[in-house]
Parts: sequence; structure tokens; C-alpha cells
Amino acid sequence: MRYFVIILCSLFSLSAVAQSDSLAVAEPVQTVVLDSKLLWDSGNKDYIDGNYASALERYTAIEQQGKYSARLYYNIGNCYFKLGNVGKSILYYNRALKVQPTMEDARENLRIAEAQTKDKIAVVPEFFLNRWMRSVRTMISCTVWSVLSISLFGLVALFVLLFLLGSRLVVRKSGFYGTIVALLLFIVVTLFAASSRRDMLDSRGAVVISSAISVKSSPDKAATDMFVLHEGTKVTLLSEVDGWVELTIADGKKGWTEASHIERI
Amino acid sequence: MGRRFFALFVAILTFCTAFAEQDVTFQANAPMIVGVGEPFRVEFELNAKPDDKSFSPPSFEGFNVVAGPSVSRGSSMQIINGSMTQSFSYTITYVLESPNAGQRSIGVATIGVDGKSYSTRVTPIEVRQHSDNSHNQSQQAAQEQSLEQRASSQLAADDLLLRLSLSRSSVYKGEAVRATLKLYSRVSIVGSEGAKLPSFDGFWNQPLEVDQGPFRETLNGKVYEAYNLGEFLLYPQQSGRLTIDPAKITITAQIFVRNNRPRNSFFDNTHDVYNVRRELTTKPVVLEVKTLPAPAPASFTGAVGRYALEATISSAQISANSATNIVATISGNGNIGLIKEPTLNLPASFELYDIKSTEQIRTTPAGSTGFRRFEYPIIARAEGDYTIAPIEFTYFNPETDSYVTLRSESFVLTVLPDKNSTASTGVVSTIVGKEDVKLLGHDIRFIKLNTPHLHSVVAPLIFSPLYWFIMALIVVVAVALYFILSKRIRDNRNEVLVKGRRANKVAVQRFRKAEKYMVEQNRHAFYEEMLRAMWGYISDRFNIPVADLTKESIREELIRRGAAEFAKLFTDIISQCEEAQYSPVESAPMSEIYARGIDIVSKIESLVKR
Repeated sequence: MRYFVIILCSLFSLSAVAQSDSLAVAEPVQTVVLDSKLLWDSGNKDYIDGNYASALERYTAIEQQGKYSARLYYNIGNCYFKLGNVGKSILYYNRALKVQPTMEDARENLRIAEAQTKDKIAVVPEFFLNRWMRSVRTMISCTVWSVLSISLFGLVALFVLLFLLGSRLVVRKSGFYGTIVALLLFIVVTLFAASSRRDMLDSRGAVVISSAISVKSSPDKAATDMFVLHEGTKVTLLSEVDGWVELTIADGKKGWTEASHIERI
Repeated sequence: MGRRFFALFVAILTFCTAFAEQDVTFQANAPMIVGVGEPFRVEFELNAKPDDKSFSPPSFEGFNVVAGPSVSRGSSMQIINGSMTQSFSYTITYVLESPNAGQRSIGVATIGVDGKSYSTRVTPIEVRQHSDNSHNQSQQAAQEQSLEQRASSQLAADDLLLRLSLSRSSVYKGEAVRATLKLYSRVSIVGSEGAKLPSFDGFWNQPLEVDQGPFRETLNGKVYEAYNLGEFLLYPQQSGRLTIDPAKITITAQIFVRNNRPRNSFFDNTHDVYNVRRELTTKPVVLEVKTLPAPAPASFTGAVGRYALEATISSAQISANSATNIVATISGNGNIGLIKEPTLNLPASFELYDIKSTEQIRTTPAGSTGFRRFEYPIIARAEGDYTIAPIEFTYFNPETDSYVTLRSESFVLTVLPDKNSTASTGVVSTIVGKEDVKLLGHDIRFIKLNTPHLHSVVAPLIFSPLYWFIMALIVVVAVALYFILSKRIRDNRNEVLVKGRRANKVAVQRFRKAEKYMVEQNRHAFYEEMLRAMWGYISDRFNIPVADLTKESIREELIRRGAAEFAKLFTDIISQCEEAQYSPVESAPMSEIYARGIDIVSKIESLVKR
């Protein structure tokens, strides 16, 4: 009986180690924080004063240091929107949401910015179950899902041990059912974490930043124009051939356009 | 009164009918001798009223019916001295002429009167040549007529000719061919009427300015005066054999005929002048129109000839939502009036308005020459650098039998942002389709003010090496734990089993020893041995460490194992032994304690083994 207590303790200490590790990955930037903090504050001040162009300059200076953050992207998006560049603002709201899918303000501003775009693409409605799953998934960040996944796996291991080593029937029974429940939870949580990860790493999303682009049937200037997209429309990139990208839009239309017209999220 | 009147009426009627019936004659009147081509009258006379449609004319074989039949009716009634005479006349007249000389006859004509059929006799007619004037009446009028006929016969068939000639007999569709309508004459012409040009079906025709003439031209070895009545450039609009229908004109020519009148004075003419009318028609002219070779390039719209293309853009830099012009000029020689504007392929953010076309074309016998200019007004809707695809124009060159595609240079156009639209929302002005009423009172949410956690790498924990490491670690630890723990448990269980199995044996040995002490009456040793036997048994049997052995723990263990009734007995015996060990007074005889001890142990043993 005493051994189980020992196992439990060791498992929890393990998951604690895991958590502290993930935090270590997320925060390795201490050297430039002062500089970016200054830029951040002056950017905020400029924005409050209505000096959007200057604010944008400060924020992008932070971005050019190779740093990113959902809030930074969100503020840059706001600056672009105030400057009338809807395409770029949509791009940055999407970037913010990619980093932090739970950011409700970015979602709202994105909705407002998207209302100003010209293209009205009939989006195939999503299955309600998928929609629910997505909303559940975006409540917690990917890192948290990952930690949960690890913890649940530990729990599964614990219950398996209980089941295998339990001397008494009650212990073995609870070990068995505990294993099943923990395993199911582990699978669900891992799936959530995996799809969050996919969203994070997905670089296929892009936004049209030129005011109007013609999408052609092949990567060639002389090719037939298939359709026209306007600034701010979200597209998915499929492939890339020297300076041209193949894209598809929400209603399934496909075509080629020059890579300079779009920017990846 | 009425009766009488009726009787009289009937009487008159009967009389009349009787009169008519008696003398019905039906005869043909025709001249005995006629000239060739001279019209003459043939009359069929009936002196009664014929039945309706009962007349059947004879066959006028060898004659041409010039006019007729014309019908004249007449009736007269004469009352002389009270006697009434009534006569009818019904005459059917034909005007005939005979083209050839010879003996002819007019066949039998029949007519019905009151159901009876009457017929004429066969009437012979001799047709004579005009030259044979031997028996001609020497009347002035007759001579005049013959002179006129002579005049007309003097005008030979090839003295007046109307000809439509084509410059070529075989052309491509859309290639010009020149048609010339000429009147050739060897006599003097005093007038013309009823000129009718061909309809030129299947052609697009362009009249040419021509000198009407007359010219001297030689045709078939004869010298003519030629008048150019019209010259046309024809552009066939369909392929195949196209027939140009005849042109017509009626010409009045002056013919001099020597008369036979005696010359009375110096001023008398030896010739009479006659005007002869002659209707002239051209022969249908067939033109072979070749189909253009297939396949034609996509930009071919029917231009045939030789052309040059020039295209310019009026300004290379405009601001969004303003207009510029692309002007394409096609100049050359061919069916230029028919060419269509070349298509202009614009980038999608451009709008093209109505194309304006101006032309300056001169039609010459060599073809239409000039230019057509097309202006394409375009409006740019979005800023950026654009390259407008070149204008393509394809024509067919009939001289080389090949298509020639002309291509202009591509147009480079820079569209600057629209200056007029509001600066803050440059895109809003182009939004037309969607309503954003909801947005009017809204604005985007405010920026985030708290300093963000800045990251430099995107590294989701899930599926990262660290993640897999931790997972592997968990598995390794779990497996290791499993092996360690299961071994220990197994060992432990073995020990317990061995001990349990030995417990009885050990207890029995100890009881034997105790029995020996009992026999020896060594009380201290006896009780000590009894206690050891019982404690030891419980300790071994239930795997309770010696350190944990108390009466309480034994009772709990027994109760837990469902032997609550033995717990009290067992602890009682132990208490008795402990008391008796050091007390001089015996509470119970050793043999009794011994028996109870063995009894309880064997009972517990049987319980545990069960």
C-alpha cells in the first residue's frame, strides 16, 4: 500500500517538471525586454494620441526583433485598421488569433474588419459538432492541453499499475475503470492539443493584401483570369512555384496568383 | 289580266329562242397570208349567246399568242313594221404571230349554245417571209411598216451589248473583286430607260467613282463605243458559287434605213431614221468564292487584305477610378470597312466602356484603303502596376494564302491610389455590394496596454521532443515500478505463504515443548512456550511483524478475517498465560490452558485454510 503513495508522488513530481520545462521554452527572452517595453509603451502612447502611423512604426520595430505575441499582433492590427489598411489589419488579427486562439478582442475586431472587405464568399457551414469542439478547444491554449495530455498519460500509467499490482479486488477494479476513463480523457485531450498544434504550425493561411488581385488558371501572366479577390480575403495556400502561389478560398475555388499579393498569417 | 300578260311573255320568249336556234353560226376569221413575226388577228364569231365556259380554243400550233383571248359581246333588236329582229354577236379575238414561214392552219374551235356544240372549220394560213414583197400591197403604210421592220432587223444582235465583267473569277471570302457593268454599242444611242442593276446578293458592295465614257473598245474583233454604267467593289460574304443576277437596261437606238421613195428634191432624205428599242440583259455571272483555310487563329474576325496595326495608350500613369484610352489603329487595304474591333484583354480590376470607332476609307479600284481606329476607354479600379496584354489582330493575306497575326506592344500602366477617396478608409469607396449599417456606431476594440510576453519561437509542447521524452519517461518509470513492485509483492507473498505454512508446524513444535514443560511442572517455561507458540503462530499465519503484535492488532486481524468469536478466546488465553507466567497462583491448571491453546490454534488454522 505504501508503494502506491510513492508512485503517485513521483508521477506528480514528473508532471511538475514537465510544466516547468514548457515554461522555460516559452520565455527565453529577457535581454531585449527593456528595449521592447520602451517601444511598447511609446507605441501605446502614440495610439492613444491618435498617431497611428507612428504607433505602427513602434510596434513593427518590436516585431522586427523577431519577437511575437498575440497582444503585439493585435495592436498592430488595430493600427492598420485605423490607417485604413483593412487587408493588413485582418492579417494581423489572424496572426494574433493563431498565437492565442482564446483572444476574444482580436476575434471581435477581425469580425469588424472582415465586414469591410469586398469579397463575399459563401462558406460551407461547419458541422455543429466540429464547431462545439473548436470552441471547447480554443478555450485553453495548446501548452495547457499538452500538459494535460502528459498528466493524463501519467494517470493512465498509475491506474494500469493499480490494476496490475492491486492485491485486493476493490483496488484492482478501481484501477481497471480508472484506466479506461483516464485513457479516454487522454485521447480527447491529446487530440485537442494536436489540432491546436496544427493550427499553430499551419502556415498555409494567408490574407490578400493588394486591393484587388486576379487569380489565374496557371502561374503565368498570360493565363486566363479565373476570379478576382479583394483586399482582406482569407485564402489557403496549396503550393508555391517561383513567385507564384496556388490558393484556394472558402468556397473551394482554386487558382494561381503572384506571391507578392498575399501574405502568410 | 296577269294570266294574259304571262302568256304573252312566254310567247315572245319562245319565239326568240326559236329564232336563235334556227340560224346559229360559228366561224373563224383569219387572214389568208401573214408575214413572219407580223401580228394578226384571229376572230371566232358566234351569232348567239354561248353557254358559260363552253368555248374551247383551237391549238395554235406554230403560232405565238401575242394577246387574247378578248371577248366582245353585242346584241341588237330591230322592230321593222312590227316584225322584230334580234341579233347577237359574240366574238373571241386572239392576236397571233408566227415566227417562221410556211403553211399553217388554225385548228377547230368549239362552243356550246343551249347545250348544242358548234365548231369552226380548220382555217389555213400561209406565213411568208417579209422580203417577199411581190404581192405586198403597194400602200404607203405597209411600206412604212416594212421599213421599220427592216430597221429593227438591221440592228444586229451584237450591235448593242450589256456585259458585267468581274476582275477575277475566283476569290477568297472577304477578298475584293471588281465588277464592271459596260454597255457596248456600234450604233448611236438616243436614250435608255429601265436600268436595273444586279442585286449582288451575298456580297457587300461598294460603288466606285468611274468615268462613264464612252471609250473605244474592241470586243470580239469589232470596235465598240463602250459606256461604263457602273463599277463596284464586291466583297463576298459567303463561300461557294455565287451567281450575280442579270442587269437590265432598255436602249433606244437610232437606225438609218435607205428608203425606196423617189428623190424629189435635194432635201429629200434617201434614208429614214427609225428609233429601235432593244432590251438588253447581262448573262448571269458566276464567281467562285473560296473558303478561308482552316483553322483560323482565334483573333481572326474576317479581315482579308493587308494591314498594319498600331496601338498606343494615352497615359501610362493614372490614378485609381480614372480613365485612360487605348487606341488601336488598323490601316491597310482590304475589306477594311468590315473589320471588327480586336479584343482587349484587361486585368480584372479594369472596366472597359463602349468602344468608339472612327474610320477613313477610300474605295479605289484596287480595293478599300484607309484606316479604322478603335478607342477603348478603360477605368482602373485598383492601384498597382499592371501590364495589359497586347492587342492581337489577325488578317488573311490572299496573296500568300496565309493568316498574319499582328501584335501590339503590351501596355504598362501604373495606377496610383485614388486621390479623391477618403484617406482613412481607402477601401470603403469600392464597397458596393455589402451593407455595413451595423458598423456605423461601432469601432474596433482598443489596443492592449499591458506589456506582452514576447516569444521568439513557436514551439507547442505537444509532440515536441520534450513531450515525447516525458511520455517515454512515464512509460519507463511505470514499467520499472511494475517490475520492482511486482517482484517485491511476489517475494513478500512467498514469505507469508511459507510462514503461514510453517506456522502450524512451529506452533505444534512449541506446543510439544510446552507439553514437556507441563510434565516437568516447569510453569514459567510452560507459559513462556505457550505464549511463544501462540504469538508466533499469529505472527506467521497473518504475516504481522513481531513489532506490531499486540492483543489489539490480533483482535483486529481476526475480526477482519471474520473470526470475531475467536478473537476474545485467543486474547483471553494470552492474558491468562501472561498472568500465570509470573504469578505464583494458578488460575487454571496447565493442562486446561494447554488444551484450550491447541484448540483455538487448530480452530483458527482450519478457518484460515478454508
